[in-house]
Formats: sequence, structure tokens, C-alpha cells
Amino acid sequence: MDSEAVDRFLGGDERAFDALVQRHRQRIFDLVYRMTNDRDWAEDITVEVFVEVFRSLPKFQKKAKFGTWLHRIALNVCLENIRQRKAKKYVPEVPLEEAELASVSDPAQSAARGDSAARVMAAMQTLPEVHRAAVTMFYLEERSCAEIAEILHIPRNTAKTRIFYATRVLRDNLRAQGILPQSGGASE
Amino acid sequence: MKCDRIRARLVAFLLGEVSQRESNRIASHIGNCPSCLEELDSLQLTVGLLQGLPQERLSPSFEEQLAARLAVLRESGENARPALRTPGPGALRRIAVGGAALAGTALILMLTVFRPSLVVPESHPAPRRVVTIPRRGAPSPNRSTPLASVLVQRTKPTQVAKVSPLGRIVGIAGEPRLRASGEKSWHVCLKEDPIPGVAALMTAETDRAEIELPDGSRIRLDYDTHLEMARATGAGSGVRSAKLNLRSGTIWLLLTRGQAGMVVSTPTATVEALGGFFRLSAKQGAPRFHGRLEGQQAGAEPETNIAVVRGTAKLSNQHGMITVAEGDCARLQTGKPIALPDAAGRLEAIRLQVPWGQKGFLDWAPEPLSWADAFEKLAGGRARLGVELEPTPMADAPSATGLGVTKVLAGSPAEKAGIKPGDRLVRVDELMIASREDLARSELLFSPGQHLPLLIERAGQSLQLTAALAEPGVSSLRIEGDALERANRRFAMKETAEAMRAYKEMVAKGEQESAALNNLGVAYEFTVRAKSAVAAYREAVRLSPKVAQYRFNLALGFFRIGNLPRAADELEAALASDSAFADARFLLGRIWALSGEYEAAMEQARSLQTSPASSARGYCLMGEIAMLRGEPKEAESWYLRAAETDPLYLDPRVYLARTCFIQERLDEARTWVESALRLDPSSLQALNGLGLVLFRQRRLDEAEQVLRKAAALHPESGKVYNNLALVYLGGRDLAASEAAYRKAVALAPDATWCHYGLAVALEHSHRLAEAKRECAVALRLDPTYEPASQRLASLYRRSGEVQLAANILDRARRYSF
Repeated sequence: MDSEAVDRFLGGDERAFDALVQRHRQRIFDLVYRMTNDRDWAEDITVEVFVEVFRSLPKFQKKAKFGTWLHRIALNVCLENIRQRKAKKYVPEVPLEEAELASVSDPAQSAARGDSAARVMAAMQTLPEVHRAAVTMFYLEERSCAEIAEILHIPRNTAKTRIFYATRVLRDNLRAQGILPQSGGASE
Repeated sequence: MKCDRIRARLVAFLLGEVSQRESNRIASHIGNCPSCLEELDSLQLTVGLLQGLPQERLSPSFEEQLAARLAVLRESGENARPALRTPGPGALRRIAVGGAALAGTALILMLTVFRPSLVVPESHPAPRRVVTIPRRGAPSPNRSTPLASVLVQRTKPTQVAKVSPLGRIVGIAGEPRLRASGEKSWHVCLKEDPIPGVAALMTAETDRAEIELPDGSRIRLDYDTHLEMARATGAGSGVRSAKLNLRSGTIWLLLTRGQAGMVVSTPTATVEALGGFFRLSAKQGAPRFHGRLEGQQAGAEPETNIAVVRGTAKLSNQHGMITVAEGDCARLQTGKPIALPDAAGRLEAIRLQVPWGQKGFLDWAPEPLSWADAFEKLAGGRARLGVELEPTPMADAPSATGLGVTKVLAGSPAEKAGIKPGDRLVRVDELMIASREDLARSELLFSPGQHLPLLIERAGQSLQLTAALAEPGVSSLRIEGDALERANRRFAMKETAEAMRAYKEMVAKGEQESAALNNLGVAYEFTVRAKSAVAAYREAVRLSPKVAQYRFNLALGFFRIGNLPRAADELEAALASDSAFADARFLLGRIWALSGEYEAAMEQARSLQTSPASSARGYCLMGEIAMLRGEPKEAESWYLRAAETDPLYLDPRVYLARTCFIQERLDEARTWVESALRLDPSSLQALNGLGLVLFRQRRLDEAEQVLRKAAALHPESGKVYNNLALVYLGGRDLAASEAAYRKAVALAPDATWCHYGLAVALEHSHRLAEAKRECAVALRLDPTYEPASQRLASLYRRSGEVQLAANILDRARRYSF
């Protein structure tokens, strides 16, 4: 289905692109949102992703599936944005006593339904980006290790190790926050 | 060892990524190893949490946004161009983000330069200072009734307990109501004299309390309970202790009759009321009040006691002797002298703040003050009967036949009712009159407009009369007293709008004009109307150019609106007439530092090193200088030193919290705000800070709780509502968020941040046109406010007005340099 739409688009049918967007936008947004934990920013990045896809589709050589290629672009755009934000030494703009914290970052980034979901999201942000990407695709999109390896251009076993490792790190983090019970012994 | 190997494979096992053989091996191990099983459980929970993360939906504006971007691409035919010439991924974004970040950095500087009000802490004593003109006439010499009263700190706005001169609560202004959260706010009315020495008031946080008396009987206090313990136990039965059973919350017990009282607070069950005690005793025969507060309170921090002062008082605390002015609160330290140096000075009330679960007990006999005087002070515009009574007989047994009327004021309700001098006033409504205080009490209980049945005795005959109490303002018996003082009192009670009206009236009448103008300025500032405040101070200075305080306030006003040179001029002038004006010196130092004149700033800091109290301020100033020079580590050590030099000085703690907060050390920031809150549990700045830290730690419920408390304590603060709105927004409660932002905007119409915040909330509700309007308002107030220009640009982009967006960003970029 994807490849058919891609062909139509390359053949000059721009409406085919809309179909591709329709089909994939929520999935891409989910991925980016998990990567950034900032709803509005994620939405902006998702726009970027599809702009980039629109631009690069003529170069798409169909060596991989469209979905895989799209994910790769999405992650690249996303990582590039995150990298830039990090490089700008993120400093809250407003001193403590002022109420303008609204401008520190968009408040929506802390939005999540339920406290624990917000904290899980926050915990994910402590993972290195590549690990975060792997975990997101594995748990959220339920992609296989092989697919993830392909998207991330890494060996399959590396992808596995990252997922396992990141899961443990998250578990430790959630334990430390008290979302998960502390490890035994003490409680008994 | 085996467990370690197993654990390393548990995730793989959980996800089915192990071979059948390994799987069997692990399964059999787990069956026998509880700790590995627990490990597996926790991993399973983690995976569950990850898989169960809620999905966010793309907003409807996504499509418009993408379409707008693609339209530009299509037009330029960019996707057809060779790959090399295409901008890299996210290039446009990079420009935007890069621009934003760059401008953001510039903005920090701009903010520090042009919004210095941020750095002057709320707790800065100066802007709160309200000038009091001494009352005319010395207090009359034959005042013998001790006054003991306590101001009740309510946690609800507009609900202030009225305390009679005798220390009884006679009612709480404002309507009792049930809130949506199920929380009840209290309406407590004490109709009878409670047990001597013990009266009780439940605050909003208390939902039920039970008082257990020594004879085993219990009185349950419930919503709208009238406490009638005196009746229950017999007045003067000498009950000295009562047990309170609380399900939750706080109880403030208030003084009666200058005897004794207690303050009890508890988060849980039962508290024995009489534990440690404070004693505030006057030296016998001293012409004015000199005394000390002595504390004995296990584990409690005595410095949390707050004195509320009418007039001027000198109080001793960790800063040494300090002068406390009208409307100010001062922390009292136990065992240190308190003096009221001039005739106008009066220590009106002492509020004891007892930490959770601690006990406090207050016993004091301050300067004799006639009940009539106290009544006037405390009762405001209450209705009066208009009789003067003979002095209370000194007999132990209260008179059963009332008190003789010595004078009936012309035109008073008493005269209209037919009372004549020589009558004995026996009963007013249900209240037997055995002393002058009883009359004062009855007058406090009744409202203007009410018809009071009176029982009098004339020539051995009982007579029933009815007095119609006049509406306030109608009666010729309007409460006398200084207009300024009354307005100040309103201000101190946070009836800001009323107070402002009164000040304006005084200015219009030319009555104590400069003081009224100054205080009007303070009130404006309180409501974040900086420009109006400056105008008012300016007039005050013009009328009384010699008063350093007015000049200082004017300087502060200039400082807040960003006019540093004018602020510095005024401060120099203030210091010329009062060189020991530490606040002025501190602010001048800050201004020098903000202008990059670090040496001059350091000089001011050094010249503050004269007393322990002001040297702590000096260290604080040095910290601020270091902060401005971009050396937060150094700043931190100065702040620490300031905090150590003066363990009761709140500001350095807040500064430290801010420094940690900026560096994302949230736990430390929290520790510091909490220590500030221990010094002053009602500090706006610290409560706000704690709210923000909790917000950033994503503990939204707690943040909301703290900020709601702050809002109740400081109903005039737009900042609190702004932060509350932010927390609601974080919790995705858009309606609540918008409401709170609207409240913030109403309270602080000139503040950029709340308009911006409202825009964010509106945008989330997809009300883009309104969001644009609010952004535009924010930008009009402060064209350099980067977040607003970014957001406005993005709003325009969303609606396809690409050119407008570009213009906005362009202008923002111009401002940021």
C-alpha cells in the first residue's frame, strides 16, 4: 500500500502524499512524543518529519520498506532537534520567584494522564536517545528487534541489548521514584 | 553468582527472547528464588507501564501546519531540486529553534536588566511598609483592662475572623461555603464567653473537632458550631485544659480576657492543649510597654511567632532591634526584649504559629489599653449603642443588676430607644451586662440595622426597650479615628480594594495627602500596577520631599518599571536623608550590579557590614553581584554565608533555592524553600517557589495544594494564580487553567507573563484567535518578551499567515540584541 502511494507520488500525484501522511502521522507523532516528552514540540517535529519526507521522497530508493525509511527520517529529524536544544544549554528563563515559569518550557510537556504515566515519561527522558528510540519502538510500536536494528542501523543483538539494558535502567529509576516497590528484604 | 546471571537474562526471558532451554532453566530458578521472582515482577511491571503509556492525539492544527509548510515547498518546487542543495533535516526548524534559543539567552539578560523586580524578594520589608501618622492625643491614663487579642490567620481569602478586644471571636466575615473538593470552610461564631482562657476556632482545614472537658463531657465542634463552653461548664470554673480531637487540620485557640490562651495544631488525632507556654509580661510600672516573650515549647521553633503591630514597635529578633511598622509582621524571638517606643506604638496582636503537633500557650498582659480604644481599633465600622457606662465594679462577683449609664450620646440608638443617664443597663439582647466589656462585646456581636431588645432598670423598675442600630455612616455615632489608620487596617486585612478607595478619598479631601499617596502606591504595587504605583509615590515625594521612605518606595517603583537611573537617583536622595537606610543601600547596590558597575555595588555591600543583621544583607548583595557576573557557585557561597550569619533571614534561602532551581537541582531547591517556609510559613515567595519546584518535579497534586494555600494566604497575588494555572495546564485541566489565568490577569493586568500563560492555555483549547490576542497583549506590554513572540509567530504559522509570523520573529530578533 505504501509503495503504491509512493509510486503515485513520484509519478506526480501529490494527493498520494496526503494519504501517506494520513496513514503514518499518528505513529510518527507517538514516537516523537515519547522521544521528547513535550507535546507541542513533538507536533512541530512531526511537521518537520513530513516536510523532510516530502523533500527526500524522490531520493527514496526502496531498498527498505517505506515504513522503515520513514522511521529512520523521523528519528534523524528528532535527534537533530534534541541535539540542538541540548547544545543551546537549556537554561530556564525565569528565576524562581517569578511566576513566569510558563515560559521555561511549554507546560504541556508535563502533561500526561495520570501521575505515574508522567513519571514514566520523565524517566524515559533520562535514557540516552538511542536507547529511548529502541525502547519506544519495541514497547510502543511493538516492532521486532530485527526491525529496530534495521531502522537504527545497528546489529540485531545490539538492539536487543539496548532494549534489555534500558528496561532495567527504567525499572531502577521507577523504583527510586517509588512508583515500583523497592527491591525486597527491607520490606519484609 | 547464579542469581546475577539469571537476573541479567530476565528481561530477555520476559520478552521471550531466550531459547527454550534457557527459558526452562530460568523458570525453575525463579520458582525457588523469591528475590529473583521479585526482580522479575518489577521488570514485568515496568514493561506494563511502558506498554500502557497513554497516547496523545495530534491536534487538529497539525494538518494546517503541515499544509502551510508543504505549500511553501511546492511553490518553491524544492523537492525537485538536487539533494545537495536541499536544506538538511529540520533546517527551518533549526533557524527557528536556534533563533529562539539565542534570543532566549539574550532575554535572560534583558530580563535581569529590565525586570529587576524579580530579584527583590517579596519579603523585602520596604514595599509593605505603610506609614502611620501617630494618633492625636495620648492614651488616657486610667486604662486598666488588659487587652489580649489574636489576629486569626485564615486560610481563606476575605474571611478574617473578627476578634473582640477581649479576645473572643465574634464571627468570621464572609459566607461559609462548601467547596467542590468537599472541603468546608468555617463559619465559627462564639456566642458566649468560653472557658476563661480558652476559646477555639477551627480553620478551613479542620472538618471536625471535639473538645473534651476535664469533667469528662465532650463538646463536638462541627461546621457552624457555636461554642458555648462557658455555659456548659459554668463561667470561672477554672477549666485549664481541654483535649481536642481532630480528624485533620489545625485549630487555633484564642485568648480570652487577657488571661491565657493556647494554640494547638495537629495533623492527626488528639492533642493535649496545655503544654509549653509563652509568657509575655510587662514590667510593672513601666510608662510604656516593655516586656518579653518567653517561650517554653518542646521542639517548636519559637521564632515562628509573629507579632502584628499597630503603629510602630521596636522588636528584637535575630536582626537585633528592628522597627516594625504598621501592617508589618515581625518574627518574635523568645527571651528578647520588645519595646513600643512611642505613644502611638501598640503591640496589637501576637499570632503564634505552632508547628504541626506542637503546643503553644500564650499569656500576656500588655500595656493597659481601654476596651473602648481597642474596640474602635478592632471593630471597624460596627454599630454602637451610644451609651457610656460607669466603671466596672471591682467586686469579684459580677453584678446582677447591670451597670449605671453615665452618658447617652446625642442622636445615638440608645437615645432614640429612650435610655437616660442614671438608668442601669441590665441586658442587651441575651447578654447580661456586668461590665463595660460586656457592652463592647454586645456591640461587636450585633450588626448595623439590627433591632436590639434592651432590659434596663429605672428607679427600681424593669423596662424593656428596643434600640435600632443605625447603618454605618448614617449614625452620628460613626466610629471616630484616623482615616489613614482605618484604611491601613483594611490594607493589613487584605481588603485591598477597600483600602485603595479610602486612600483615594483621603487624597481627594487633601487629608494626610502624602501618606495616603504613599500607601496608595503600596497598594498599587500589591496589585502589580507598577506604573500607577510610581505615579502615586511621585506625588507623595513631591509633597514631602524629606521623607526617605517615600523616596525609597518611589525608587522601588522606578526599579520595577525598569527605570534604573531614576531609581538610583531616588535612592541616593533617600540615603542622603537617612544614611542608615539598609534597604535603600541594598537596592542601590543591586542597581549598580545590574548596570555592570560591580565595584560600586561591592562598595554598597561592604558598607552594609555594620551590624550582624545588615551584614547578612551585605552577603546577600554580594551573592547577587556574583550571580549577575555569571558565577553561580560563588553566589551560592555568599548566600550560604548570609544564611549562616542570620539564621532567621529568609531571603538568602529563597535565593539559594532559585540558584539550585536554575541549575535544575530541584531537590536542593526544595530543601531551601522548605527551610524558608519554616521561617515564615506564609511567605508568598517561598510558597510560590515550592509550588514551582513541585511542578517541575511533576508532583502536580502537591504543587496545586501548595499554590492553593498560597492563593488563600495571598489572594491579591497574580503570580500565585499564574503558577496555579500553570500547574492546572500541566495536569491538562484546561478549564481550571484558563480560569486561574484569567484571575491572574485580573489581579496583575500589567504583567506580561499571565497574558502569555493565558495565551498558552487558550491555544491548548484550540481557541487560536483569543490566544493570538493575549500574545499580542503580552507583546505590547513587553516587546522583548521572547516566548510571546515565538508563540505568536507559531500561531500565525498555524493559521497560514506565514508573512505575519516572519514579521513577528523579525521584530523579536531586533529586540533581542
